[in-house]
Amino acid sequence: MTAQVILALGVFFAAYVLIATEKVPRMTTSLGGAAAMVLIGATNDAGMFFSPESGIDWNVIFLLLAMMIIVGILRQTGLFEFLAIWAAKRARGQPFRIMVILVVITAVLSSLLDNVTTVLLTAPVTLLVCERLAAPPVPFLIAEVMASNIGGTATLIGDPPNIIIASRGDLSFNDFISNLAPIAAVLLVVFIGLCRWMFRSAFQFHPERAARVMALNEKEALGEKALLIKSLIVVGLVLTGFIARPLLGLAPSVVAMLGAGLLVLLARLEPRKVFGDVEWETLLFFAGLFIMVGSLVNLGVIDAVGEAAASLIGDRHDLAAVGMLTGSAVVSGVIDNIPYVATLAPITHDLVQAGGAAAKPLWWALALGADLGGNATAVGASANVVVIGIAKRYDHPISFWTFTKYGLVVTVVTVGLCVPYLLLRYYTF
Amino acid sequence: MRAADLQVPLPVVRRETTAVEAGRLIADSGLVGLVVANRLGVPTAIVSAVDVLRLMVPGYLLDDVSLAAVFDEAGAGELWEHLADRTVGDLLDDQGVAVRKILTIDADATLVEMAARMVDARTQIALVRDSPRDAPTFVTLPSVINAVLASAGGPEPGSGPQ
Repeated sequence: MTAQVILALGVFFAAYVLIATEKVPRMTTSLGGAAAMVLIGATNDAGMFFSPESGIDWNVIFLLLAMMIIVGILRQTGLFEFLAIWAAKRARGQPFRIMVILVVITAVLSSLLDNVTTVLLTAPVTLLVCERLAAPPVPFLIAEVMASNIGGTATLIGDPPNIIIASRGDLSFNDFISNLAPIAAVLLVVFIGLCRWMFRSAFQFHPERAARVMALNEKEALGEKALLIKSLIVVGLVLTGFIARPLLGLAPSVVAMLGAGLLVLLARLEPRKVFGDVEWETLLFFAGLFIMVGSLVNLGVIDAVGEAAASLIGDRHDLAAVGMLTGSAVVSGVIDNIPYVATLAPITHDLVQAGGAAAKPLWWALALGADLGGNATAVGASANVVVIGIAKRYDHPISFWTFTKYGLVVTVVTVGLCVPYLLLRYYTF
Repeated sequence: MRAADLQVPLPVVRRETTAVEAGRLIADSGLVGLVVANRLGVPTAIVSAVDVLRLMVPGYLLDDVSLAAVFDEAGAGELWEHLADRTVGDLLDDQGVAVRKILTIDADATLVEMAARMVDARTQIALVRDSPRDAPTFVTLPSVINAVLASAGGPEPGSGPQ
């Protein structure tokens, strides 16, 4: 092992520790780590910006950017608020029914939007409904953020790790739908059952309180109708473009950028509203992360780890898939799943190249483990941290252990169900 | 015109002041902001009138303004029930609020210096340096604008477009 490799590994693990402990803003850490990699000669301009193997994954960056723009415009329409209040009224103010409906809405939204965006959209309306019901908002907020982590598993665009996996594994939107959406749907049903048990004390029904929910007028939440129609048409076109990739031959990032551009043209909103939801810090965090991992690719570290893992696995891809699933869930429970997947994706790529079709389910094991593992602890996923922050701001603090005691139950059950799914679907018949 | 010529006493609030008391001060006096004092009674910060209004509106409606429209009249009325529970301290702790450190200007500061410093600090109220600790005096934005207009030969107070 050369001094350069040792230095690069030192930078990489130091960055991981800083990201996990959040002592420094994660964007600063990832860009600082990238700069250190350049200084030690582990990468250069060609490697960072133009190499498909070791450079910034522009497909990921631009897909995220485009979806942030689309969501930023879509949220101006009030559609999400309308749906949530409409659903709460259909539930006739019954707290458990409302939780079920909010959980389902959050999961479905989360399969189409980034998880953080989803919980930012659903948290205010949840607080409103709980305030009307005089119901404790904490169980509802926890249930929603967990539903967003489960729902985000279902599609290519549902969770940033999936976007990385799709790009590195050359997997399509339809691949995700056919391989992950079915198990995500099953997990959601099981999760609703868990909610009934875990949060049973939160479902006290008061008819007079229910009447206060019924008095809400959801139509007033809707903004300009023309913008809503334009937005829904563009979102429909983008989803069609994702699904029709085999016919169109366009990468998801291109489809999303075309959709974002069209919506910007049609919406005619001021730039502040169009780009207000673009998280530039997140995009730069991703860029720095890709440079750091790419540096390890350049130095042969990733290949060496991949080869070692391949020889260890041999032809026992079933065990490898279970190991990947459970290992990813454990790691993602304690550190951000984005840097984890960014690191594991090139290694998984090597394993799939070496193992062929039998090794391909490793991608799904990685996605399921990383996405569902985020539920395990309060810091397992960015969306958890955001919801806990919102709850604290409104005097409903959620302690680390309050979240984690529910999170561990949900993670053990959901990841546990994925084990037979992987084994039965890919390795039994 | 110097700061000493425009200085006036203003009510001072503390962390413990409730939203009701702070709102009453603004509603009764037409102030554009409130001076916040520390435990020793020393003016340290300024909160604008709109931030005091922020204190009265449930936070989730500020996170998602479109939700504010879904209440009927009775439902909206119930939202004000929590006013007594909120204090100026909540405002000072709210990261979404730009609480401004109080601007201090010399008593002999000229009108243009006062104007420039208040714009630079984006503040509506400035503390006059060395004013009595038990009765601090301040220069307010309306009085500065009024003095600027008077110096520029602008219309007299109350003669603007109706």
